[in-house]
Amino acid sequence: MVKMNSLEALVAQIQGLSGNSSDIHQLHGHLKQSDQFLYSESTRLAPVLTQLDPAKHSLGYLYLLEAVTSAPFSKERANELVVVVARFINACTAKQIRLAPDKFISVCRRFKDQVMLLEAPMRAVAPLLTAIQKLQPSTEHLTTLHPDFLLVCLSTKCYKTGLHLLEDNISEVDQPRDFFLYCYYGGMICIGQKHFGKALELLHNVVTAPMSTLSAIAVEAYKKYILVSLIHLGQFTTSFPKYTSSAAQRSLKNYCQPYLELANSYSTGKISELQTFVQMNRDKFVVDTNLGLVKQVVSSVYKRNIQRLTQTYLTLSLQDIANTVQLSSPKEAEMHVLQMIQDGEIYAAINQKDGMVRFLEDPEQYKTCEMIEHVDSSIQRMMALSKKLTAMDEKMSCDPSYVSKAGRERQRFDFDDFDGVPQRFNL
Amino acid sequence: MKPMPVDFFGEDDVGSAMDVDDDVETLEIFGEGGAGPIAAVDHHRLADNDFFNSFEDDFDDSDIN
Repeated sequence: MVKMNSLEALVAQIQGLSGNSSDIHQLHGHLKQSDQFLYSESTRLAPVLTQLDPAKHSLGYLYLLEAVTSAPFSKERANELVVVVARFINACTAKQIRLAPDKFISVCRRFKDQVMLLEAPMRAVAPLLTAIQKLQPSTEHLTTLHPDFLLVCLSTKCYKTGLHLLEDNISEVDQPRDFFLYCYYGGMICIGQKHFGKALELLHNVVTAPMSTLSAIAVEAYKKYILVSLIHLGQFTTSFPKYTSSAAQRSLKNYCQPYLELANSYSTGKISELQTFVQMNRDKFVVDTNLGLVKQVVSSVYKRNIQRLTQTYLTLSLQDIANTVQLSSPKEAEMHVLQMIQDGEIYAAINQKDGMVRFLEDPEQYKTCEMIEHVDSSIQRMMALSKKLTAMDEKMSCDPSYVSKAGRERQRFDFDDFDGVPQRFNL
Repeated sequence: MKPMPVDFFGEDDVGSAMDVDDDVETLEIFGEGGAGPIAAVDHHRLADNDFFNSFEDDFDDSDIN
């Protein structure tokens, strides 16, 4: 009875103190004090939620919902909770839930776990995107929910929806693991959409990110980086940039030997050898769920060889293309050429009457209004990025941790690099 | 002229803004201590080895027309 009165009192407070900022601040204090009480009553809170409006009483609703979802749940219960949480995410007020970001993240993460348990990840795609947009202070902030959202996009093959989120420029990261997962899953989203250039950029970020211990995410990212590099660039270099962590430089290749050997075999240009290597190591690629990408690597050899032909010939028969590139028939050659024309990888026209392919010049003259606008917007983006980098550099050079570390490392660099930094900088 | 795709791990002929003098050691900002060489591949030593990576799609597009 006492507990029910306490619960009723809390609900009354939530209903009465959700009107303005000052009231909400006061309410937040009450809710924090009631945290343990709510957890102890978690199994009885679900009916209480119906007395609250998720839009008006978002903060109070969040506290109760977080307690409700903290209890272990069955598959049947998960189905009910998924509906409640999705409705809350859609209706809640961003200003209120940002006051308790950890609780909001907990609710959303459990929501993701529940849909995965139900094997219905599609139910989380839209709500998680909404949750991110409400949680993040700006589009430049990476939240813990970003990788969860990309995970459900990958599980449901909603690559286009995931790609939309990847268009934001991220400059604020709280947790390294979130960054690793965001870039790894993001790379996979781009692979799914065949945006291989962007995929390389994201996977590169994982591999070269600062890490004191090698991350399993970086290992998997490096494997995919090797494959995408072969598909997109037709080559792969084993050297790491100097800013790569020593942990990665020291150990990463040990975990990716079959992929490095694949790259070696690819570089010989001998398709039969490459295919033999793939067949012998098939199981390893299957375990890594990379066999499909490996097949794309093999296909890309034919593409590279056809692209080389465009640099030598103006016209060539489909039969000659098939013979040179080691395809089984002119028909197969035609399919490859058509696909490459469609993907913008070559410019050509096929005369089906005589089976001749005419290779054409890139029609882009780079003087259309669209191209000028594209160049102009790229310049604007670069200028904005340069300004942001300058501001970040200035901020970092005033950071006590950085200055302290740089001061200790001073003797390893030229005097001019750290002019004015005392040798011993103790804080 | 077609824009050239960028190889992020390749060595450029033209010096880049990221170039560092060869005689300077990599700045260990995050205090990475010296650790001995890993004798054998051991996934249990890896950080984040519990991350979710079980996706159905392996990007096999050989069956797509």
